[in-house]
Formats: sequence, C-alpha cells, structure tokens
Amino acid sequence: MHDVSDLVMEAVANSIEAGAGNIAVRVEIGQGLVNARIADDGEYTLSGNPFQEGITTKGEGRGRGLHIIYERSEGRCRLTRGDGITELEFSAVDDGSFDELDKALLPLLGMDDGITVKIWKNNREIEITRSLLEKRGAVPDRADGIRKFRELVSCLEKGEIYG
Amino acid sequence: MAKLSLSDLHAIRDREEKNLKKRDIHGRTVHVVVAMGTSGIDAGAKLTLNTLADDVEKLGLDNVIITQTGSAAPNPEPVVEVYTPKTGLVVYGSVDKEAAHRIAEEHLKGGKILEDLRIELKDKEQ
Repeated sequence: MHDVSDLVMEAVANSIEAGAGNIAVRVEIGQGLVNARIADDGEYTLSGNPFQEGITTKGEGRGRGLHIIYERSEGRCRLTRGDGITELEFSAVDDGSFDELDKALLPLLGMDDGITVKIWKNNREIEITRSLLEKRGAVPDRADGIRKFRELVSCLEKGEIYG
Repeated sequence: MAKLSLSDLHAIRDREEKNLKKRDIHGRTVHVVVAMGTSGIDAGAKLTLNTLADDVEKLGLDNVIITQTGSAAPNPEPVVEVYTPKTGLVVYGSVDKEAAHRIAEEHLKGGKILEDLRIELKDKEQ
C-alpha cells in the first residue's frame, strides 16, 4: 500500500521514464493535507485519461503509478503540459509519511541527479538539490553520505545552517 | 508506473559493475541495489532501503554503495541485489525490515550469503 510520500516517488519515476533532465518537486504539508506538484521537461505522449488504469504515457502494459496516485488522492489530481513542461499535481490526506522527512527524502533524492525538492512544512520551506548534496558530501548512497544527509535534513528542518 | 524490465535491471547491473571497478580504486567494493518500482514500493521497498541505509551508516560500512533501480516484478519484492567481490552477485527477495537488518549484518558486514532469502531472478512475464 502506497503512502503519500510514495506517490511523490511514483510521480518522479514517471518523470525519469519520460527522459526528463530536470525534475522539480514541491510538497506542501499542512492543515491535514499534502499538496504535491511535480514538474519536468520529459517527453510524453498523452492520449485519453492518463489516470485510468491501463492508460499509460510509457507504452503498452505499463503505467500503474498514475492510477495509484488517482486512487490515493481520491481523484484530486491533474496532469497538464505546456511549453515543454509537464506538471502533475495531487492532493491527499496527510498520512504522516513526511513526518520523518529524512526517510521520505532519502529514496526520493536517490532517484535522479537532476532533481530539486522543495518541502513546505511547519511554516518553513526547505530546498534540497543533488548538487547541494554533492557539495556537502551528503549524497545518501554510502555510510558517510547517509550520516551527513540526515544531519543536513535535520538542520534544514530546524532552520539551522549546516556545516 | 512499471518501469524497468529485468533486462533493464541487468543492463544497469552490467553498467554498475563496470563503475564498481572504478570505485574499487577508492576501496568501495560492495554494491547494494534496491528495486524501487511500483510493485516494490507497494511491498515496502522504501522501508527496506531506509533500513539498509541506517545499518550501513551505523555499522560504518564505508565500502558499501547503495543505489536504486526500477521494478523487479514478477519476483517477490522488495528485491535487493548485493554484489561483493567475494560472493559475487546475490539476489534476495521479500526483503522486509528484519531481512534488511540481516543482510546488512550478515552479508554486507559478515560476508555470509543468506540462503533462506536468496532467490533466482525471473524475467518479466510476457
């Protein structure tokens, strides 16, 4: 069963499969809801309702992710495209899956080098990019990077300066 | 969002094995790959990945690299691949939190293959 942070991962996986070079994720958490917007510069072939099960932007027999987003968001989702940018937005009841932010972000930031993640939570916005992680030695793919990644996220959540 | 087929997974593994040769120079010789496709996520792959990451950090396994890949369906997910020079490539299936702890402690740290978790990869059903 997907939690809400998993839905964001599904959306990012969709962007990666569309060949996106840049993926921007924005997640706002508050008032019992998670509102997410994932924008990318990938190439899509949209026909029909992309949220319908069995309809895919990626080829025959693929594409359960958008349908899962549709179901978990109870239909509060939309996919738009213009000026070469595709945006997927959805809103879902906050299930607490972003409470431990490092655990939600570790797999997300490990998905692609061209990803930028902005999180609005507790009246504070934090922004994390792969380039920031690389600069800080905090890419979470090895022991020292994992430790620094968790420290970095913790500092950003508290509004502290890391390093 | 299905994602990568087994052949894709193998291609990634082949590429990463080449990369590993470069990384060997820096002393990092163990590669862990967690399948994070839709079916893997549904089965709890995020918890598996975080557990492995936690343990690699806590155990101070500086020679280990953890990366992610797409779906490993129809194999029993979460699926985790472990490559070490000593044991070669070993694939584990149904890797829940407890299994992830065991993989970190016994295989990544101890160099022992966990035969009860080991699977043979099945290719994607046509």
